[in-house]
Amino acid sequence: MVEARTDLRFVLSDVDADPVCEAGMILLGLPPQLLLAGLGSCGSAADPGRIAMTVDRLRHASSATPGRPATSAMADAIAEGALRWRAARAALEIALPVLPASAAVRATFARCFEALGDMASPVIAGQAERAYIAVCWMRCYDVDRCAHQAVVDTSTSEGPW
Amino acid sequence: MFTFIPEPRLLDSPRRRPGLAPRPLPAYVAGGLPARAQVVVIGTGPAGIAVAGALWHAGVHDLVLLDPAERPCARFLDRVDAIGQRVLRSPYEHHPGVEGHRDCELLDFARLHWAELTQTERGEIRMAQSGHRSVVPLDVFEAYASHVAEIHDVPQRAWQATVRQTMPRGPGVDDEVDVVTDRGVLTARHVVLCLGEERRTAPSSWWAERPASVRYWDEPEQAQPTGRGSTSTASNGRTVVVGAGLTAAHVLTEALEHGRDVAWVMRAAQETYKCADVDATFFRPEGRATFARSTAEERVELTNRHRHASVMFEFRPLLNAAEADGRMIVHRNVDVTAVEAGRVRLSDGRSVHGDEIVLCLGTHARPGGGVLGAEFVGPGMWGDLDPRTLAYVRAPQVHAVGAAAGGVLGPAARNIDGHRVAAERIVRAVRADAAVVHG
Repeated sequence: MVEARTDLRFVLSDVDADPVCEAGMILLGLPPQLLLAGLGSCGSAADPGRIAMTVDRLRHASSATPGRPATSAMADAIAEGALRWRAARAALEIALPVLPASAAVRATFARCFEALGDMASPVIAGQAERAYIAVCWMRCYDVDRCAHQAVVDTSTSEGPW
Repeated sequence: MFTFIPEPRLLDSPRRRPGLAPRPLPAYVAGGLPARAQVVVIGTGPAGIAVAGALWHAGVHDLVLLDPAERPCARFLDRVDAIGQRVLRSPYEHHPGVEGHRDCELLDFARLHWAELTQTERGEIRMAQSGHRSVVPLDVFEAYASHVAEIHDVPQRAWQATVRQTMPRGPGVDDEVDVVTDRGVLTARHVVLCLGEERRTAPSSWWAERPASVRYWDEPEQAQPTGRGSTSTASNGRTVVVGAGLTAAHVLTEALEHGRDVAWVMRAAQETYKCADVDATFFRPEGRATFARSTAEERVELTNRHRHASVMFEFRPLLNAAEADGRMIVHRNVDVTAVEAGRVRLSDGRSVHGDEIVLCLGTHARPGGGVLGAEFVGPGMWGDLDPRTLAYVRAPQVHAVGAAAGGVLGPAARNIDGHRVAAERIVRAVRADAAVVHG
């Protein structure tokens, strides 16, 4: 129980935090290429944490090593993510033009994620995609630039990531 | 005065929960070994996969890993499972992954699997985030180690083989090392020994022939399965445990849980309860620098002083209660003079009786991992290692990771975090050598 006068900046996050929120905090620290790759890998998956691990695998598989050629899966995922982002962004401008304000990043994410619940498929296909879009929206300056590059110049999708 | 006694519940993590099962990896290569490789890593435990990951990111891909097992960290995990250990003593910041390349680290890996964790385990993560001590569930570590191995192509580069000997061809810029295995011989420019530690065995004076009722901690019990991945002998029997460390505590607790009486025999005057088996100072650069400035004699003294058996704090309430209510009798400050069938003879003339005697005498690293000749290892407790490359001075292409590097990295060398420090130095050495060889 947190007292009313407690300075919330120094309170540990709840252990009952929603797993999506916990994953969201990790995603917020990722570079935009990895966010787009995740967005492009979500499909209708429910768990953004699993998608983050998938991206980690794709990222490493994109480097050629002896006996194993590089796969294009990472570049493909970024390109797909850029398309998904551009499609979602227009809807976000209407549905959530202003990010829910909070001094706590965790609370901002939670409110943003909740607000996106009204955006139905096909804009958001699953919980994982909803989490990724919430993070991309919070990081839209970086993500917009990255998505633009990924679409107009596919060479930027060659890594390293 | 504040006394910190972490609760025993921190020791209870579920094991093999489906949501944290490691992704199935390809089995290690069973075919013939390649004739050559730039680097051969012997061992795919936490040290081996830490080295493999660091080499992968350094662009060193001409790599062969050798291990008698067929999956990453097999012996490590089998050992901790054998004693029913469910959490690691190493905190979240100690892991075999690679730092500085945006790879997922252990703490983030655990948080990304939040839904699979218990309330207690989540609390441990919050402790780690706050910079406090933490314990890592074995399930989390196993899944993470498997992930690290997978993304750095360990299964594709690992051969199931037992190394018999490593034979340096002699000092010189073009020299190589022959690695003799049960599957043939391969030649490498560099060999990295990641062989872990062997269990310490009883002095030969304890018996002429080991009695059937005596076993080491990592040997299976000879009894009926009782679940929890362990076994138990008759529930009303008595187990005698010799040794004062964390392994002994696990064996004692397991026996108590199965309703057995226990006797605990230790050389120390008093058991020691500690967060970690190594002073935290030695994990930091300044601690390693202190060690590096010490003379050879001082390093041995420092290591012996800091490496004595201790038990995680969390066991203290359990073991204290068992002693208080008579389920456990502790024999402190005594040496064992002999072990016979059903009896341990002590230096003070007494004998301790039990139908099962379990020896938990610790582990130790063999200089050169037992696969490099003494003439190459050099003198002293650890041999003669170059601190810049962690290679043996008399075999400059053979590097040591883990406790074998303790002479350079100090007491933390045997810890998972020490592996990463060692891996960084070895990667630098391999790259510098490649630059010389290839101009």
